[in-house]
Amino acid sequence: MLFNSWIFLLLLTLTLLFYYLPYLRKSQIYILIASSLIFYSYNYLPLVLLLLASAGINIVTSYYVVYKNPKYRKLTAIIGVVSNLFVLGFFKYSGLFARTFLVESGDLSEFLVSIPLPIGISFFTFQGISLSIDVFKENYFKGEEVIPKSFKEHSLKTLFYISFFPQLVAGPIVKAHDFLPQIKTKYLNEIDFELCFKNLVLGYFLKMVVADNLKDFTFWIEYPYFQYYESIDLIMMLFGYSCQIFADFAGYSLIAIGLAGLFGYKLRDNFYFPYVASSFRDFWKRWHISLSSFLMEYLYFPLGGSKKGKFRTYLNLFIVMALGGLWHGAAWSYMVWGFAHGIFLAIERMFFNVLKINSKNFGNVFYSVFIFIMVTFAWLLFKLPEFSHVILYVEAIFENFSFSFDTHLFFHILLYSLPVVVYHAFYLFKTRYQFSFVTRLAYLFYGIMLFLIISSSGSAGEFIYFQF
Amino acid sequence: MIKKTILITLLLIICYNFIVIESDLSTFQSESSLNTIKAEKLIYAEESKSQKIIIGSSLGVRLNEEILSEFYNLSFAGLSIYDGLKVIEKSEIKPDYLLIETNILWRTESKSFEEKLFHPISYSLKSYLPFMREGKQPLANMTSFVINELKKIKNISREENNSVDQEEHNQKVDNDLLNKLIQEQKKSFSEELNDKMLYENLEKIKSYIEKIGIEKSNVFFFEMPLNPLLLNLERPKKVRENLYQFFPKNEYNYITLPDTIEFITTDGLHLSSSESKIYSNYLKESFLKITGN
Repeated sequence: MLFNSWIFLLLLTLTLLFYYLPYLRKSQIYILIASSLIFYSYNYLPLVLLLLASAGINIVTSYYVVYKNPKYRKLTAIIGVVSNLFVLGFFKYSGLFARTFLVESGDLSEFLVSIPLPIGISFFTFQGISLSIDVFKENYFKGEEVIPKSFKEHSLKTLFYISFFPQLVAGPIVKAHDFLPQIKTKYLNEIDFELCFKNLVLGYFLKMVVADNLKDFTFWIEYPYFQYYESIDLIMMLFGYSCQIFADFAGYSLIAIGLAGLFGYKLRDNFYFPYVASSFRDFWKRWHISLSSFLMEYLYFPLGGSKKGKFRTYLNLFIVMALGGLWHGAAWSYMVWGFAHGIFLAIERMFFNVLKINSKNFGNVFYSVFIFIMVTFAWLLFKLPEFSHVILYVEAIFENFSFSFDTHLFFHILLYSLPVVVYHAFYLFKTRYQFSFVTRLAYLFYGIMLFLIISSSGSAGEFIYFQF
Repeated sequence: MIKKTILITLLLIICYNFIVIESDLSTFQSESSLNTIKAEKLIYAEESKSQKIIIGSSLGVRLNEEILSEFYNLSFAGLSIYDGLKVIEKSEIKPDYLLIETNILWRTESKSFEEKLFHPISYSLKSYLPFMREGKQPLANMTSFVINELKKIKNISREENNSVDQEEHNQKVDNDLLNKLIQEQKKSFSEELNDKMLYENLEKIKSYIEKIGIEKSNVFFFEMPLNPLLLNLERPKKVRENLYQFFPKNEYNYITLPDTIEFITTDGLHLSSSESKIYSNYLKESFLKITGN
């Protein structure tokens, strides 16, 4: 079910209505679980079985980690993590494995390639991993504090944590230590409606007006169409795609945060003005924050982070970024994309070390622009999963050189990318100058955005991150 | 803050809706929006309801509007003829003549397009609030205005520079690409067509014609020209054979391709604009020859 569909609006309204009815207060979790399962299985009912199975694995392993023989705590936690990785690997990467390593016409190969990719699997399996590790490590809480003694109560809470619909299919990835302590009865008067409203309006605006309109123009990046375009068009389309992918995903995250807020749950920000990052390191602290912090906490640090010498630091960076890239999709180009970012990070780290620059205090407009350009070019690997097509696209930029351009394409991309530019510029001004008059007139901007959502939405498209 | 925001939105809606009603704003920004605009013009009766309608796929989209100005071209890029038939049926339009493109009959109808046009909520809203219709979008109209103004400045766009149009530019693109595209089309046009699927689709056309209530003799089947290498492959051949059986030539009208002309396409399937003019003239003349008006 799409957030921008009428049926979702109906589901949301009914869920909110029942959720805050005083005599149903004790059933709040049941109501949200039911809504979440309807939301998830709306287009394809059998999917719900996979979600329940995944939740089942995590319910059992996390409970056993906390309450069963302490001798087997570690083993149980490992089983929990491996089971989640197996589910993810089987459904997401079997096809890639078969295409790469098996003979094309074999029965096994055909079977593996035919396995469908269940929507949101990358997100809910990562949440399962977070649960297993958090209850085992107890870095944030004692296991008993968040895992109820009653298995039934624990099952409900865990199923709710895994399936909560605002973040179920495209994140933000919620960590167990952030979410589980929030599970309690919620009251209407505790809700910050203004904040939810702002998140929802901005989120829907970015998705429906910016991303959905841009997609009609960036469509021509596809092979072989791009070969018909001239350099300026190709660069403009790439710029547009960069804005589109931001608007699509940041928009989704804001909607998810706004929706969760309506039910009294706080999800962390997933984007923090990434295109004004002062370094590649900074970019990854601003882009898909829930994934980068997940990888940092559950992969980079356990690998030794930067504490085991220079070689290991760089190696760890490459491993984390390459696997982070592969998480995005079952194609080697995603791994290459992650690896490219690993290289950017490593070179930048070396460069900063040699020049003794403190990356935290570093700020240079030209370097920020350079980062944006590199990040934007790297998105080509997202749009064109065939690596040879990426090369052709870059070649076309140089070979089809001309000063003329497609006016229709150029100005439409410019128009729909403008909100992304303004959004980032607003942040820059806000941090540098007194901008209180803008804050006072915020309702005007939100009013215009709401009007444009109603009047200028593009054709509804799935969220780009659904495919991951 | 929420109340003020909603108030501003309502004010903007009232003002803009007034502008839309009072003026003749209409523009498109992409192929998908053009599909919707064409359909909505019929659905909301912005176009006369009794007319000659062409339905087709992206192939038919290339037909020349000026030459076929008496016809309403309801061909949809990326969609199928069934989407056009559905629009006519659901809008309760009874055209005087219906011209149906037959090239890609195996393509299925689009659920999302149907939902976009006929979802009860958006359908009702668009009926009463014209500003919500696709062609009336404020941002698209604003951009269209800016582009038109800028086009008055010389040398800014490729369209202005190369008056011959996109084709000249495209010809610069390596011929290998065109051959590659044709090879790919050849592969898909040579694939076997599922008999059951074809039968169901032809049945569907028949049932739409009945529902629309148009006389059989006012239905015209026509084929858009393709690259000659594709014309007689497995799929087009099979479609033609079955079509003649389902819709006999003595009951329905057929405008077959001229034997004497080899048309040039940009990618194997779609006519270039100069070729499209030639074919549009041919189509018009053939139609007039049969109907006599």
